[in-house]
Amino acid sequence: MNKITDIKSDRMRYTKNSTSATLAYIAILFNALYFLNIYHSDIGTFYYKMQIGFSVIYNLLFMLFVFLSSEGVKKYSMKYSVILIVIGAMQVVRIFGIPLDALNSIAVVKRVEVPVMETKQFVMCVIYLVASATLAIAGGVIGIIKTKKLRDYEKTLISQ
Amino acid sequence: MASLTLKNINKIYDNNVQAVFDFNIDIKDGEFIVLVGPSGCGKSTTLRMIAGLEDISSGQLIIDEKDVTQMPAKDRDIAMVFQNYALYAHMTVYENMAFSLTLRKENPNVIHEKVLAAAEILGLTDQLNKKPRQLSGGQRQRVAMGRAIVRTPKVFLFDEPLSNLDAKLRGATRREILLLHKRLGTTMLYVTHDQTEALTLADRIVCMSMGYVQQIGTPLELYDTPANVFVASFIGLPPMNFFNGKIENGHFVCPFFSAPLNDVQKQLLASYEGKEIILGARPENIVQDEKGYINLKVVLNENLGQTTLVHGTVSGHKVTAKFREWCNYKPGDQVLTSINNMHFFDKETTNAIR
Repeated sequence: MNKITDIKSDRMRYTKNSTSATLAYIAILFNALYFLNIYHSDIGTFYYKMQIGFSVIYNLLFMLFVFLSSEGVKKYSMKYSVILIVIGAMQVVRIFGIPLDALNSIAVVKRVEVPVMETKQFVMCVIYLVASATLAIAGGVIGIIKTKKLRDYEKTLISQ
Repeated sequence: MASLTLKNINKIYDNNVQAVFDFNIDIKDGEFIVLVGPSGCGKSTTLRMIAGLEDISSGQLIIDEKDVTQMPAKDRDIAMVFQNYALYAHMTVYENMAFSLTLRKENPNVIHEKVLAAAEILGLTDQLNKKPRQLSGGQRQRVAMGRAIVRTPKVFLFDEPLSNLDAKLRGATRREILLLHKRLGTTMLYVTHDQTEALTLADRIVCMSMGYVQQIGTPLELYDTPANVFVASFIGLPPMNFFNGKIENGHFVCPFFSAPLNDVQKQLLASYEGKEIILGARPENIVQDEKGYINLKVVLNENLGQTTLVHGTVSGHKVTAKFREWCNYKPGDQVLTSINNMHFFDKETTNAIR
């Protein structure tokens, strides 16, 4: 048996990167909270647009890719770690989509003008999206660090 | 490592069926004990009672001078290896082996070192990232053993661990278990119905039948001096031949032959003069003899390389002989034989006459 120089790195040869995977799962959870927050709103006809259709599709794709990435980072995949970071960054961009649009809009309900999104709801949406983004990015970054550490360690093993 | 004492252990199920009757044994530290017997004789029940998986109806179980009769299984510090491996299919070999230690919340680095050490012992280092379904039966059983080893328990229990393996793998894994015992020196209890496993592995064998202990002894003791007809018939392959007869004028007389007794045998059987007894003769103790008193009519000749198994009849009574040379008897051939080592049993009690 080779002498183990770094137990923590050696452990990674046999254990999954469950930290990154767990962070990715929680990112999905926060995204779900975000879209539940948006979709339960029924303010006039504001949401009856193509934009909401794209939003639904994006949410489905988001969940699919973050889940796939979580499986990838579990196995110390550099590629999936990067994908996770990119998807995370996209969550921040989404704040400037529907939430900001809805915050600045007025809908007419029973001939009365009402704001589509109250500030409180907007803040919640932002919190969910930022949390989702942070978790996904953190998962990706941890994935990259661990993957690099594991690869370096494996190189030292080969050179032994 | 630990010593084990079972005092008057009984197991009575809720439906009043008694599976184990008054089991008594003192097991020394580091000893390898094999419980052997036919299906339903209570050997697995006894093992499960020791593990804490079955309640002990009455009696005492003492491990290292501490009464653990009522102690829950998790606190007994005993590891058990099952026939069906009981591995977690969704976990890798490494995770399977580390699982019990993870539950104990041990330091991951310590777990890692223990798992690698166990894998090294069992030759599983290259398989650590594989799932159980990717392994052969023998490798799976080694993982199950590894899972037990990492815990460094006081006692190892094996419940027919080789039954699911093919003959070749069974032999190889049996040798691995023996080497493992020599390497770890831990007290081991092993249940099997296979007498070859019992004879090759055990320091001492416990032979059981119908819930009763029939005999406890070394493999040689059970083979050479069986306590009763059951042990004599169970230990040894092919099984012992039995003949019912009487002692008359220094001879064992049965309807098939009359065998002269030597002085020691005459003295031993003096009180049985005229009484019915059972003569036991192992197939390997029936030898070809031109002046023999048993006329064996050959039914089947099986050559096994160095030896030949001859199945035949003596006046219609089935007899199996194992000759040390290559023979080519044909069905219907007559072979004169005699017995060079006789075992005598009381017909009423079936106990050995000593």
